[in-house]
Amino acid sequence: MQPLILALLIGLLCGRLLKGSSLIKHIPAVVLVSVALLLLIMGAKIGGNPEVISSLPRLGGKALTFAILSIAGGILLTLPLQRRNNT
Amino acid sequence: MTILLVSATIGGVLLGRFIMPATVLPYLSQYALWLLLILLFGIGIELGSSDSLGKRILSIKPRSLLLPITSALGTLLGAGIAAFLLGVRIPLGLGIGAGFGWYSLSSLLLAELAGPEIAAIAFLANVIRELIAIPLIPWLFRQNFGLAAITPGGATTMDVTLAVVSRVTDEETTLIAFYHGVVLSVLSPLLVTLFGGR
Repeated sequence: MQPLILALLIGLLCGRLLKGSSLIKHIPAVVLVSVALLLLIMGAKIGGNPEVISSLPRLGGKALTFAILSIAGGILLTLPLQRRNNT
Repeated sequence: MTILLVSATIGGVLLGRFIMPATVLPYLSQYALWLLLILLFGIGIELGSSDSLGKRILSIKPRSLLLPITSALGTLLGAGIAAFLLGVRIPLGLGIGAGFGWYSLSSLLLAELAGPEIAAIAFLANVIRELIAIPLIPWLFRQNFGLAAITPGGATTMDVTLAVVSRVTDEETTLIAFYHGVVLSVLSPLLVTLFGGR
């Protein structure tokens, strides 16, 4: 995790230095491509793992229930924080 | 953006399933780390080159710093309810939820602590969480959910879904999302171990 934080901080510094440079306008595309490739790799790891694929029919429903309720819980408990923030 | 990212994931699954030789898989993790570094370096540049970043950081409300707490507690609550409904032992359910979208680590830890079945559910649940978060985060921001729109990404709001957040919101919220991801990434292994060992 620390290398990631370091990468962000070095990026922040470079961003400061490059401010106004025409290089900056290419950065959003670089970020998007790296995310797309990361997801491609994640997909390939899942697709290339027979155990994961074979467990999907049996455990997919349970996993989906955990995912949906975990997300819903996080949103619900954060909403009050947000409302007080707005006032 | 969402369509590109979802098709990249599906394309990856098909690639891994039908085309790619299994021997390539171990190398993929190394590439993934480099991509993560490029990703965060890029977002750093975007943030650093924006105007008045310092003022924006100072304008972050102290209350926003509670975000990882409400996000984590809400996730555990939801995962607890899911465990209850599905007949999974509650502490193990909390362990699955405490992956916070970090599917690789949570499934590894739970494989040791709770066995292959729970580990497999944790892997799938946290992958699905990340996949739902990618289209859900932009939608929630458009519906004015504010900071709550960050929470679906869980621990991944310091990397993959941070890119999604930074596309649809301002620099200030992107920084809060990064902070949210870092705190949940620290909490995740601690909580997974705590609950998964019970």
